[in-house]
Amino acid sequence: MAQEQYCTFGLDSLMLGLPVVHVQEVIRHQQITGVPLSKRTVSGLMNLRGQIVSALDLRRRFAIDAPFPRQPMSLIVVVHGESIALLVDEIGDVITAEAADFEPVPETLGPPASELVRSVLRTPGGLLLLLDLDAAIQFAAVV
Amino acid sequence: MAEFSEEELSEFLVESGESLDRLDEELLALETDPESGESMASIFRTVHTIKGTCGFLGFSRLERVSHEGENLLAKLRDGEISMSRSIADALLELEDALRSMLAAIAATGSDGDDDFADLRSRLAQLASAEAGDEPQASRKLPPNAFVFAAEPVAEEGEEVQPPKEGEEEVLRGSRPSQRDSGGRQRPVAVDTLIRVDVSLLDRLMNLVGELVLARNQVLQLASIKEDSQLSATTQRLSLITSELQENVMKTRMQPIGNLLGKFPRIVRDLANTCGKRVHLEIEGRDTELDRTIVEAIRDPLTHLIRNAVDHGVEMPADRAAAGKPEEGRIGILAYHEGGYVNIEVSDDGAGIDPKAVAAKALSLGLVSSEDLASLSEREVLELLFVPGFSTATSVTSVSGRGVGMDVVKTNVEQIRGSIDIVSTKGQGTTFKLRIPLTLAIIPALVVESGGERFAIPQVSLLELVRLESSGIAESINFVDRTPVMRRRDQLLPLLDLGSLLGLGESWHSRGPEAINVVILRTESSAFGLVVDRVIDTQEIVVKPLGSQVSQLPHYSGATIMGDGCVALILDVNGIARYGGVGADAGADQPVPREAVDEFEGEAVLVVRAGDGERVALPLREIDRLETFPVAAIEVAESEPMVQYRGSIMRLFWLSRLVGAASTDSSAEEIQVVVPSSELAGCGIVIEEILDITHTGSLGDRIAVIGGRVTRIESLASLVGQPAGGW
Repeated sequence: MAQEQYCTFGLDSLMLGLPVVHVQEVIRHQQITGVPLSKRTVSGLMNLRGQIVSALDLRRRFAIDAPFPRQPMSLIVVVHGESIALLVDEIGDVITAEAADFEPVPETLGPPASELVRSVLRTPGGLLLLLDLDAAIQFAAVV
Repeated sequence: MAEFSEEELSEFLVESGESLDRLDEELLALETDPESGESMASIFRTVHTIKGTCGFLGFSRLERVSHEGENLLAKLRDGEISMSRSIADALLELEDALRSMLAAIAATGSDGDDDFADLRSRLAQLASAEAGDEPQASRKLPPNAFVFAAEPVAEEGEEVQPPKEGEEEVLRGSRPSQRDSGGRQRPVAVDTLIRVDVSLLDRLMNLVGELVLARNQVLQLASIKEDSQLSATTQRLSLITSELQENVMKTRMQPIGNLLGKFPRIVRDLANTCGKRVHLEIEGRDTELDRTIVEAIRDPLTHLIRNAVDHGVEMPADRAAAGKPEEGRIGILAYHEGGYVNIEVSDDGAGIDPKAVAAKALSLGLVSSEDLASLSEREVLELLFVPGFSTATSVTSVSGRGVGMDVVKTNVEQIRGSIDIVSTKGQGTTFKLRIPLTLAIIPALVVESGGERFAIPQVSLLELVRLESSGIAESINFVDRTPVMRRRDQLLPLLDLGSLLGLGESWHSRGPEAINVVILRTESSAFGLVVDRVIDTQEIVVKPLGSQVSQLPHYSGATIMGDGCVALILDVNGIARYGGVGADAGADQPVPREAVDEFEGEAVLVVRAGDGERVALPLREIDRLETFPVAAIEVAESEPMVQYRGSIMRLFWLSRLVGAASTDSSAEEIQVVVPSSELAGCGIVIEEILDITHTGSLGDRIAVIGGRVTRIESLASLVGQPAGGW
């Protein structure tokens, strides 16, 4: 059976997950330099050991109006060869799950979340939303 | 079959590959100039060497094909047959065949299955043909051709003796990079070159980049500690780093000629396929570029060239009908200018019709008709770069599937370059690529605006000017609320960086005591950028922006400052365009001759007085331009005036002063020219601002300015007249 590991993280009241293969590292909030005139969802640029990495504000991406109550954590992911920082509220545990256990996105989940989530998983801790990384990053570039 | 080592084989492959690269150009040169003994000798040498070596290495198919080629070449060289189109075609096919066999050897170790029997028999046939009716004039052979005459021409199957050392010396000539090795080491004085893996050079480059960053940090820390020994050592570190950087960059520089050398063949083949006649002129082969740039522009240039042949140059009949020579000309020009490499690809073909482009863009839904109406001609041509566009009326297999130009632009922008089109319908098109020379490390001016730091590439910097309040009053004027600065007979539009980027209010709203103006040059003009603070100049390492931000035109990259924070690097052209200055206005029109002459002389504000009279007012006499609602006009002692900045300003209508007819009195606002301080308390009402330009001496009362008859008036003389009422 196809067992995979997923990195989980919290965004406001949502619990999200990503296959660990996409995750490069997790760091505490770094200083971010804003990019004037960039999209709202782009928080700015950060210096990751000499590499310049764009930081995406996932709260804004999910259209959550309230700003981060505390310094967000940075989840550094690799998409198409590029490292990007996702700003989230907190980092959760790494869990193992069967691919088959994932269910389609329920209708109760409206946009934009429904477009950013691939599938969902019932866990003891609640409903885990599997993030569609391409969609999350892609759209931010256009909006 | 003789035994040979891996190394000998790979050397053979590499050198033969290089020889074949040259062969391309040489064959084409020979085709256009069959008398060229030098090309002939070189070509013969190449084929002969390949034949000899592959015989030695046991590649019999390769040997047989090159043998036939060599025979044909020998006949050509000796004048027994003369160059013709079919011979040239066959020789080029020979080159392709050799190339493919070498590729097969590289991949599989054997020279492939293809016998090339067809090609061989054709070569043999051409070699045995008679010379034709005209008796061949005896051709002059260059001195080194005699060396070949002395060498035995090998019969099939015979092993060729590698040239002896003495002969090798003669063969070399003046190009040390040519190595006619038969696969063995040759102890020749010319071996001062070594081969280095490109990835090693890339690593060196990266390391130097990191060293520069670390050096910057050390410099910053050292400047805090006041330690003379530390300062001295840091200085040395800095010097050494700069020199190291310079030299590492040199290792990666290649003349662009290597890349451009492929194009004559491409043009020839393509022109034949299309049934057109085209010749290619290349200028600036020696222009050196960093290797990565060469790689990055290979595809874009190829596409542009193919486009020029396929879509640019017309069919011979059409060209003749248009009074042009039947043979079209495509030119590639490469040169350095101000830290950039410029590459211009031009053709004298049909040009691009902006109307056709506009129509196509509209029909493809790439632009709305409202947007279209507001585009300048240059901007319309730039629609070509939008993904999904193709003006080819028929999609050819050659180019024009609508995936080309946008990719060209993206590729060029990825190396932080820019591309522009200039085209005249019926005459031709030129694409200009402009690419920064130093990819990674550049000197920059660090400034601050709106609380953020930005780096401006020094290569775009013309001047730094600091204006105190008196200087501001003197040099800066407002045209339609846009500040314009006078600098050495030029008028520069001013942009405020902070407000442009939405970081704060512009300087003229804040009314500071002094301002810092960074005078920058764009592709076509110059402008002034007002910043809050100038910090210093630094060498910075340019890092690319991620996909999320790279499409913003305002920034060309980012860098890490000495304190570890990220700072954005401004794209000067992008900022200029965003701010609406310089880039477009009249850039696609040739500067009219009169305007050029007018650049010496006085700056004037040209206004409309009354219904249609044009009046030029010397700019130096003008302080500001203001607008007042008609309702603000008050009358005292039969004289109209307004309250202005806490005092009273008497109004004079220019139309009255110059005796111009004025029939329109419906305006709700008036535009007033406020003279500079000597004429305090007076304001001149004008109908409309027409232009700001230059004119010859102001001694004349009437001059032609901007192509129209214009009166020249001095404010002082105007206002000295009895007051005009309404």
